[in-house]
Amino acid sequence: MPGYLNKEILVLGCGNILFGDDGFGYHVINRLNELREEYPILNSEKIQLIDAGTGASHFILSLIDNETPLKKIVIADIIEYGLKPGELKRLTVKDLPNLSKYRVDAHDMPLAIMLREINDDFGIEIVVVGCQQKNVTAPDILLELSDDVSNSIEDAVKMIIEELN
Amino acid sequence: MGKTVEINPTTRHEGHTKLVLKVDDDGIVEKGNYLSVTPVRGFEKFLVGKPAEFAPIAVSRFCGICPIAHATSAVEAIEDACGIIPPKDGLLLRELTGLGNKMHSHPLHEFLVAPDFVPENDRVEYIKRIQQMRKTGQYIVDTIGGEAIHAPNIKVGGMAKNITPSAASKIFYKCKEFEKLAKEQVEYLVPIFENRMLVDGTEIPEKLGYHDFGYLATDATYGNRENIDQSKVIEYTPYDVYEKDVAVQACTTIPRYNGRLMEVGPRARFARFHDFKEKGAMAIHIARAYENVVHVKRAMEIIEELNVDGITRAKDPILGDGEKLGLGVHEAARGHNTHQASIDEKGRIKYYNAIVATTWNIPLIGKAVEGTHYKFAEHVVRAYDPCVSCATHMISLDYDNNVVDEKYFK
Repeated sequence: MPGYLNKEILVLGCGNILFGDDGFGYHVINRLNELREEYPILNSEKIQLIDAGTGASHFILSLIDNETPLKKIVIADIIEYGLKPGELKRLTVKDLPNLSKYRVDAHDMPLAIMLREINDDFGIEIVVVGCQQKNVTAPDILLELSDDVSNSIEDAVKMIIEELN
Repeated sequence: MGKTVEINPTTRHEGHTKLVLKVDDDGIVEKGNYLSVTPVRGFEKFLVGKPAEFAPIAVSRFCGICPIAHATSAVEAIEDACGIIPPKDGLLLRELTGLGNKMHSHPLHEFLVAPDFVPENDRVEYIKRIQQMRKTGQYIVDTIGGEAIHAPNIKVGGMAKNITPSAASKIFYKCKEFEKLAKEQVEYLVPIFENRMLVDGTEIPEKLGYHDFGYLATDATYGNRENIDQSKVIEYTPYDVYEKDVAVQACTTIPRYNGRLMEVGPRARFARFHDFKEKGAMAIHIARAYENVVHVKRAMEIIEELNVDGITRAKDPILGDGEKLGLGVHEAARGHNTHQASIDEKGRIKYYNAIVATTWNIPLIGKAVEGTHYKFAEHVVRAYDPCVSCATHMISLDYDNNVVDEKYFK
């Protein structure tokens, strides 16, 4: 199996850096990589950080099965919960929307269903560190995060490190 | 009298598309239109002015499926524009990363068509095989590319680093396993496609998807700009090709080679490099199944040829003259994928254009559904494994040069 599935904890930064605040996950992974010296746990053989972009469902989640030793997946992504822009929220699988099975478009599978199934089928703990978005520009391109979301990255990183300990 | 049938959305492929079909009283498609309705993103415009090294990072985000194919086409285009020749071992590793991407992507497509062709009783074993193949493809991308999805080792000038002897032997071992599974997949799938039988017992018409357009492929497994005359590629707008009511909804260009629509992808590669003459939608599935074996054989050849102590990246500065239009050609899972770039004296992108595999296939899919009942049209679409987000790169203007109403893209 790919090396990243042979770990105990995956930290996935999800979203597209091209669409404003949708780049939150990417920036969180970058920041975690910068902090490897400060937080030795980030260098653990048991943990892998991945800039998953918009490919988590194809390249990671749909490859998980009974053979996968994963115990926990931590996802950094934006959320739309009507909170104050930049506000962080820790979600577990019970908080994820219970959407009906989605079979239409392999390109655009909502993660919530897959995460719920992974939890149900393989007992893998799911934690989403969600950040209330302010400005997602798709399909227009914007390479910068809003100040509100950008200012939340340090706190998001701390939340993720707590999840790893 | 006839009528118009719209199938929206088409399903179990990548991206958002629809079919707009003019059918006769018996339901036979007289005129087929296949359209991307994915929102336009404008990559080619926003890349202008950015450093050349940003292009592979950005185009990896065209969509979530083919990051390796686009990064590879991008670096090839920039190298061509700047006169950079990567070292042999860098190119071998880059090709191997691309093979890993295809070794994941083709089995993923075989998973998507399973509800059409694979009986319930066989499905568990079939999907186990596919999952094992996908894992190996991803193992290769992760190990050589440096990361699972947006491979950071794909650099202008070659690859960022070589692999260890241990990694090379692990890849070889996994490829041997993949080869066995790919052959099992051929033995299982080819008779199903040759019998043209859907899982519900419906027989697919023998000539479903037949067309007389051309095939375009530059290499059996990687990509070779020497095998195409890019001056013969012309992109037309939807208004040049479709009727007005269809054209306003389309957001891809219509490329032609020597004035002709061309199919790209597994069958085109097989027609060009393996003397494969089969026609129709089922032949694309057959070529794709065989291609899994071709890919893994080439992957093993590369491992044997690779010098793990070799240099993998040229150190030339990434500077152009602002004039030369570099061409990057990569044979992606879905076919001939070209990026073009010119780079200025400061290393910034002056011009960028991408004509991706599905851009070629979209107009052809519309034509290929003509002549049979519209209920089979979705099977033609799926056979081409369209991946639409990256193909979508133009906004339709009306006759007054205004952007047409957003509702048409939904």
